[in-house]
Amino acid sequence: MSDKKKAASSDDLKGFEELIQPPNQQRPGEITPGKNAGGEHFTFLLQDGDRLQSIVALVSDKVPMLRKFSQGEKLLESQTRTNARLRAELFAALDAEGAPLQRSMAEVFDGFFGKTR
Amino acid sequence: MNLPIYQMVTVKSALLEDVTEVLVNGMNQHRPVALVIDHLTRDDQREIIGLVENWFSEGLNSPRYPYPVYLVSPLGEALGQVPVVANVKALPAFFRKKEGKPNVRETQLITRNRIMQQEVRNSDPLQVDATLLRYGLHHRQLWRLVEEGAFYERLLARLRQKGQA
Repeated sequence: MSDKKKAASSDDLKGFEELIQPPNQQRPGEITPGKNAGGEHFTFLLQDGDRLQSIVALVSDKVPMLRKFSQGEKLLESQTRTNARLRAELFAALDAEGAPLQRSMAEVFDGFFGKTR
Repeated sequence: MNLPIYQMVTVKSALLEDVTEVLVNGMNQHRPVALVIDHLTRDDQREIIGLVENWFSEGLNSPRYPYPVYLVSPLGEALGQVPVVANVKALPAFFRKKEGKPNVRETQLITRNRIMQQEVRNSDPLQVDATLLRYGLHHRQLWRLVEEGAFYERLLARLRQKGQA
């Protein structure tokens, strides 16, 4: 009975022998089973490729752009001007008649030396 | 073709010829390199660190890319551009993989990565380093100025608030 079944199944597979892959034979592109069964090396190489891609983008695109069109000096100049304006505003506000600093200083001096007016 | 995992290079001594023997142009083009010097005396280690730093500062190679170069020495963190790690176990884990024969798909990836490694190699490390250094310096200066400006603005806002009250 079992011989008959075997014979029948071998008849069914006739013509498909080439397409059926025997076990333990690796197709090109398949990950080798064993230590690297989880595709560890493949993932590692993909990540390394991404890392290299970022470095290539940095050294061949971003750095030359930074060298040719550096914004650093202009931004520093602009911020220095803004700070100077703010400082001037601050001094003006502190120096104004009746300003909080003036009032506090008057209180301190009056406390020590008595009222001048 | 090998996987880009650590290549352990043991430096024999602090003699110039022994050090220059391991410092080859493009040494870190295809895989990261760990120069092991922890078996030498402290003076020798210091001398080798100096020689390696000088070699990289000439600008033909960068110790950071395409793959990093590390010095394995218990002397601790050096102030130079080449990172120093206390022992082999302290090396970054990313490149610590088991050596193995790559299969077809992996070989294709390695070939693709080789092209990018060559592209990185064509850049001028001295110029790249100088540009990045200047960029970082500008950022730090700008940060300080913006902090100063924010302080003035806070003071002004409080003064105006008090003046209105």
